[in-house]
Amino acid sequence: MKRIILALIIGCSGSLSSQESKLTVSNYSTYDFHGILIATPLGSCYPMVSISGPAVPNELVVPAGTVYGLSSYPSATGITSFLVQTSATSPAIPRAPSHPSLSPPSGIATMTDWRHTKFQMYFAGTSVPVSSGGTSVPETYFNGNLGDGTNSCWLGDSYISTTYGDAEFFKISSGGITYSYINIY
Amino acid sequence: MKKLFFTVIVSITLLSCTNESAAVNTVESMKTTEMQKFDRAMKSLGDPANRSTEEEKRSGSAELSDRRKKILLPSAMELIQSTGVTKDEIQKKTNGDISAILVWAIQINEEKSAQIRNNVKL
Repeated sequence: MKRIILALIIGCSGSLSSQESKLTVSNYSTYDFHGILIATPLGSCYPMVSISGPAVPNELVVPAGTVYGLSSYPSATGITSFLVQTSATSPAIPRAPSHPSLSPPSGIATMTDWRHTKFQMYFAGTSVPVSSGGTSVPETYFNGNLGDGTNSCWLGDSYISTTYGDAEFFKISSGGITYSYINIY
Repeated sequence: MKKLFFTVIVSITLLSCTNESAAVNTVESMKTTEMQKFDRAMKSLGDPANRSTEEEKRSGSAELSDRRKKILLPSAMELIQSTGVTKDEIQKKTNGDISAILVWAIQINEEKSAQIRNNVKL
């Protein structure tokens, strides 16, 4: 019991001291969200932390009608490794969420925040992307580049409207605390 | 008695592992009325009348617009009040700032959700 409480305290303090905002992906649609997620400093491209290959998983899947929350790198649910790239000339390296570089006071943890996602919607529970005819041909609709619009490396609107539904990226912030949201309707 | 307790714990653990969506549903159903209302308000941002206007899309800011923040405000107030804080105290602490009230409500929502998830896990 003591150990459980200790684990909880450590878990909590880890998420409180992190500077990155908590990201919530709410998929209200009837399709599955498959996307890579990118965190960078404000206005620059590096260091870059992402959920993308060759890290595991190589994309974030948020099934239809579910919500995924990510409050800090070390506490990320279902993430075996993040892809970390410190500069344009250095290689991108998969790092376990517990790696010291992903926790404060590391600059990577304190400077970066979720700003972009590149995603596609799939028919729920399948590997078939949502396309004009429901075929397995890679679709052109709802092929989203969605972001907070602050990053020149990853251009994308913060609101996308398609015949299949809408998606948006927004923040709610006050007093130095920011919550980031990706909502799929 | 111990054996029964152990069996119950093991079966709960197994159930929660093998059926993630069931666990998610449990968390949802254990949320307070105020938490559920706040979640619904968040979802209602996708209702046709509540979606981003052309002007809001062009604003260049990823911060949710004040108009859309106001959609979340009533349920945020209720959620904060459900912890025993009065309307006057909310006004005093936030100076009536919508963003401050929303961040406060989101923090409460996160904390309560985490508590529920931990209870489901344990």
